[in-house]
Amino acid sequence: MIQDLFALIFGVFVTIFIYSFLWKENPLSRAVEHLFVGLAAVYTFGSMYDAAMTQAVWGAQRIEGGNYLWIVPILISLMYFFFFTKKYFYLYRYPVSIVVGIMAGMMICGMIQSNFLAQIQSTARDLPLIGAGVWDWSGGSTGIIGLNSLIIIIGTITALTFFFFTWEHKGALGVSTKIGRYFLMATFGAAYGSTVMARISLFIGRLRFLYETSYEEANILVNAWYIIPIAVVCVIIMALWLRSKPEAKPPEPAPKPEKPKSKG
Amino acid sequence: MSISEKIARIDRRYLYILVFIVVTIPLLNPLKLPLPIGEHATRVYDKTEALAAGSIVIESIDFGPSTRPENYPQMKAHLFHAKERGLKVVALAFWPSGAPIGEQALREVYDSDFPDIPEYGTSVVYLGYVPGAEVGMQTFADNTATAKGTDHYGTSLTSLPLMQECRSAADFDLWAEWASGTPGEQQVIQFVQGRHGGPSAVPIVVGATAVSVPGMMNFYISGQIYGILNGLAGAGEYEYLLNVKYGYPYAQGPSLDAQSLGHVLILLFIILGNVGYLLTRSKGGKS
Amino acid sequence: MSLVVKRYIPLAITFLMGIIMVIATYFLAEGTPARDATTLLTGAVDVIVATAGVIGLIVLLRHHGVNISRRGKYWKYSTITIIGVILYLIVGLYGVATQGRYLMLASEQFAWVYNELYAHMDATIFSLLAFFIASAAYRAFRLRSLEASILLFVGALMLLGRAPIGGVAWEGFPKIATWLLNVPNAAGNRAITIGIAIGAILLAVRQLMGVERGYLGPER
Repeated sequence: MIQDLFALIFGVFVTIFIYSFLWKENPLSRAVEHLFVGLAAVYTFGSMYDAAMTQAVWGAQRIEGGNYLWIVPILISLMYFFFFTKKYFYLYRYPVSIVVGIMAGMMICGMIQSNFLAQIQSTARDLPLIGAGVWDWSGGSTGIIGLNSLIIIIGTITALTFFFFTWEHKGALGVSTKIGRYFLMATFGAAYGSTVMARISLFIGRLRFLYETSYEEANILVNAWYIIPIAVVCVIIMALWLRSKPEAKPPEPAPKPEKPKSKG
Repeated sequence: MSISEKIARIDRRYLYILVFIVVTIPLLNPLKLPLPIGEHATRVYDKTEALAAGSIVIESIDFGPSTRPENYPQMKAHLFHAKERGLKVVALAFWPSGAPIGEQALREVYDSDFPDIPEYGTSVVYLGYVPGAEVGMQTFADNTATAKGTDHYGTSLTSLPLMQECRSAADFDLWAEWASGTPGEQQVIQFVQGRHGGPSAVPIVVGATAVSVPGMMNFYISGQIYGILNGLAGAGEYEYLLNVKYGYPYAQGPSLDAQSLGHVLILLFIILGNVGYLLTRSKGGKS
Repeated sequence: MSLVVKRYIPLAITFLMGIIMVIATYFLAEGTPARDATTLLTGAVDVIVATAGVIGLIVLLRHHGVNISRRGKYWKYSTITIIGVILYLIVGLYGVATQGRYLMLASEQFAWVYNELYAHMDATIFSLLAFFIASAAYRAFRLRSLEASILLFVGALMLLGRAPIGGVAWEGFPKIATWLLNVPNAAGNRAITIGIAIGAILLAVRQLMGVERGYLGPER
């Protein structure tokens, strides 16, 4: 269908225009970025609107099914509009307080169990240091289980001491924080390697779109990479036009005010 | 300018051109490098293989178009695996952008007429976007009908037999989380698994972008996450495992070849940058 | 009275909501009517925050509208933003009017614009990071100290181990990369996770106790 062809052409053009930013920022890349912001804002609004409709209106236990209690959160939600007033601005705080309170309560419960207790439990309970075969070579990526357990226990404790800012890092604490810092550097190194991997994957995804996508209808075949030269020519024309424009002169500095002549 | 200064001050635009060329070559002319299969992907595969037919799997599609190259092949391969194993799939998205992506994957795995297929409602249900982020996750785990009253197509959950079996986290046999941010695997651990009996009650497998995998390793070694598909490589490993048993197409080969050359190029840039730095430092200049 | 209405009642609401959530989690059994009631409460949050999306849209339009009226910096691009917002809104509202359940995302036209137009821009802008990380590898990654060296060494091993070429060069690289993820990286991340958990819990407690009041906005 014709809209699929339009989507293909649009996709190639915006991809090339955004990549032209890497050479130098230019009106084409800026225009695409501003369009992106506008569409993103409307999409966010649309998803929040849909969330409210599916949560409050549609379904057997919602307004559709006769449960009119769901009108109450809709009315509370409308209090957000007081954000734009000066006199009644404080009414905007009521729905915000409800949301913040619920989220804070959920955060406490969720974090305590999963990110705090479970992690400490695992460090204390799940890392074997004694037992049959624990200090034998297991091969593969495991190595020696007992040694791994020891490294994790020492690494966790010393890295935690790095965040003790109540006392000066001297003596035993100083040694511990130094070791902890090395473990944190290993963590950041792993994060860096993974980040490189992820970013290159995203670029590979765009390249596969440019090289492999096509539009086929009746006797027409349009590969995405047919359109790349056209988009590149547009960028070159834009670059030449920018070059031909006279450079805007910087505004002249305002003249200094004359000092009043002293009398006498 | 001396050679050391030239090395230390290469214009970044030449680096960008090199990245473009080096990553493009294997996509046009694949190298067919052999792929080592890691333990993290193997555990995802083994966990899904071990589930009995009829087990309920929650497929949570929590990513957007920006991370599609990594998450989509992971999710699609696992959906295929679940279908082949005869598992019952409840697919949903806690990201609004995940909803259309999930629908596309279900069409590609089940049938292009999805949801107009015989098994819809009994073996597979698509809830689409479930609002509320982590709040929605908690609500869904407490009571699936409260989180959303209808499926993605407007059908009331009361008329879908699978949703009468899948009423809360007690009924989940596996949660497959396809994540690229928040809400993601950490929120599933906190607001679903942590509140409903821990890893033995709600086992979780995760397919994530490579950037977030190091941060979830402490959950992996504590058993809160059973297995992880690590970015594009993880997707390739899983596709390879499925290809061996089920003949699933292994499509990530050229991408992983491109990834390999990209990594080598980055290493060369690091070496080059440090060579330039050391040379200029030894001459007493600024890098 | 005005201070009570403007400040203390919102703080009390925050405290009440938070305490209800904590009590529900730790003191109410699953399946009880009281616990089901709190589940409804969490569901209501989605409805309450929906209007925030409208607020965001209005603020965006106001910012760019003012930029255009004052002929500020890049005012011509602000017109592109506003035209994009208006056109996409029209598509969305048309979809709401014609789609049976008055939903926006479920309408074909709205979803088409997102999947076929917006998705390309989103993916491409994200993929720019690949180039910036290449540039950062060349410019910023320096062997200046022992810590930097550890970071660099581990990063290099991860790069080699997580791509097929590492396995081709030496079969040990993938195993080392997996070990690095499972052991030293997990140790450091565990410490970071515990630290973040403590910080997040304290922040939540401060919000419930009314010490942290930033979310109330400015005093007007």
